[in-house]
Amino acid sequence: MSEFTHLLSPLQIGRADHAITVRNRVLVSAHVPGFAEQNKPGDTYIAYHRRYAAEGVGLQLTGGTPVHKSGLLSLASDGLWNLDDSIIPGYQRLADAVHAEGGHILGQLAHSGGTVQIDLPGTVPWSASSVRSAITGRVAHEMSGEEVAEVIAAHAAGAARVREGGLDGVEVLAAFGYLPQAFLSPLSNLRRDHYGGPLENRLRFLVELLESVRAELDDGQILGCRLPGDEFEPGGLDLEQMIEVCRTLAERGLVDYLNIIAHTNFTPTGRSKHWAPTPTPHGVFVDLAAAIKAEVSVPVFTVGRVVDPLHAERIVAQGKADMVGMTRAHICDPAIVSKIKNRQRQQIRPCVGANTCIAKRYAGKPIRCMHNPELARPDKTLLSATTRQRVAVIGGGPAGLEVARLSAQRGHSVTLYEATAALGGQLAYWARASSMTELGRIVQWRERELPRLGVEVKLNSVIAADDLATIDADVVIVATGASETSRCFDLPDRIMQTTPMQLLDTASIDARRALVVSDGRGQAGLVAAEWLVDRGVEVEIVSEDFAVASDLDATNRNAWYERLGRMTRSA
Amino acid sequence: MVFTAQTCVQGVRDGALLLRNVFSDAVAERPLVDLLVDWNGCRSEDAMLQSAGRPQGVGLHAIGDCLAPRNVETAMAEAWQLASEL
Repeated sequence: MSEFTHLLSPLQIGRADHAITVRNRVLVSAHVPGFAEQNKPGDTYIAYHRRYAAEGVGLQLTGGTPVHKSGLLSLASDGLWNLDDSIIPGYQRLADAVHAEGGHILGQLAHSGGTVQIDLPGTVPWSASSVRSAITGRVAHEMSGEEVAEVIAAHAAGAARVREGGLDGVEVLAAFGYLPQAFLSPLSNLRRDHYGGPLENRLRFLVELLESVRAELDDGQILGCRLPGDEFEPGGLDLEQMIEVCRTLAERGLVDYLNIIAHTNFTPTGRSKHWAPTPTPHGVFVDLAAAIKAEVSVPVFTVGRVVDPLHAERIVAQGKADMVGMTRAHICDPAIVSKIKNRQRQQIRPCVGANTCIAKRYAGKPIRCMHNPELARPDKTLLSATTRQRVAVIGGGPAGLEVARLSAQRGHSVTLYEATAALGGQLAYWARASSMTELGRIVQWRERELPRLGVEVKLNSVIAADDLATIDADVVIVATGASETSRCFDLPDRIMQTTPMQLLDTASIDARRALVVSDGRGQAGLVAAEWLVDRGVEVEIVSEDFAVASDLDATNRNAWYERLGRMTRSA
Repeated sequence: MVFTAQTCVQGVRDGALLLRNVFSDAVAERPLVDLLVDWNGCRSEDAMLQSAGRPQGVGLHAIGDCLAPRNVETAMAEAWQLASEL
């Protein structure tokens, strides 16, 4: 327990006489898991959030929830909508479930402004000004004064539904270039009325919105605001302006806490950086939160690739933030708090920043995790097997490792046969690349877990089809994976040909100009290109697709282009 | 680092690699390339499944890329699906 004294200490949020005491500093920040039913919390959605509360998370949020048709986040039915009173019964069940487990949950209210493309006849996206989004290419309608009042009233009505639903309060989303940030930012607010111009005017929309929301909440409910600490765009909001914004909001009693992220969805690079994949440094926005915390008296939250509870503990202990968002870490392992309380930190399945969760959301699908398959069924727990069976697993790649682990967890007697001297299959290869090393933890974690669960691992054990009859097992699971293929190009002797995995096996390379053909899609061609650039080779990467890596999700694709672009510039 | 899309390897002419734009068919030479890394995807290691005689009383299952090369997430999901049924 002493290892996590600060992280596990309670935090009071809200005005002194009505404050809520959150049981610890672990935050699961707003995200849309894609489990809602007809835009309302159903059984799966509630089971998802209940699990986090049951495992000890201090504070959670619903995903961004639109309150007005001019600011929908998407047209899909798997995210919450707070457009009318039909949300209230679902909120009530959600609140009851989280409270029954000792947790707290807030409803995040959101208006996407001009950042999202919604093509719904009769519905027009509204924003501060008619500025083109570099992501969608679309231009939103510039809101009139009456429309500003209508959207503020819609937020108040949304807050009233949160109150009736018994959630613990509201967080207003004023980050990601959404409507409040669109008003705040000189990049997206070109207005000439009293909502545009100097910062004081650009802040007016958010101030009026927060006042209206506060007026609908009970005394015992809290109101927070999620803001960027910096837009990191030329001519955009910077930390100095954001400190002024945060100071104003805190000093005027408009917010009970500030939740600090960064960037804006008005630019493609900004959107991918606020949910950056590996190898982005952990806790990438902590310094922004710390700089703001030094200037305000309300609690300040931080988010952004904090995956290790020891890191979270240090952030709180050093006074850099009051709560630490570990959202992707919880998507990977919902039991982080339970495990640190039970001195099982080593058993936490590590988030490796593959961003499978983000990629799924961008594709409009429910979130999944690269190595937490249980996420697909929040309402289902693997029970102990009724009959203990002898299970033989052939192949120690991701499929074999995971089926061995889960079978042993269910109580079966498991032996894993791996033909080579190491576990991990192809994944272990990719993890050798300089920007993919975190993915190696998928294998390393299982290398620790399998012995703990009693799995017998036999390396250098080649099993042939004929051997199956002699294996002493009730169940045999074949998980022998796949191998690279290669084409014949009839190259002259002076041009060497190889594959990405063969390249990663090479000690040194005697080449000056390489052509990487990335037709197999995914990240293998990019890994090979990076490996070569790392070693001073000039590289051209080609693909028959419309763009190299166009099959990757936006966060990973952008990160690759930035990395490889930077490497080339500095070469 | 150069990114070139909509392009495939056409072959070799006079010792130089040739690239072809898949839409315009325009061909370009890359005479100085001395290393070609071909990422062409994978094929399943399914020999055991092709020839496996099912030993009496033993349940035989297959999961992951040996069925068809896909990704880590799918391999893990199939592991969970199977493990939940054992």
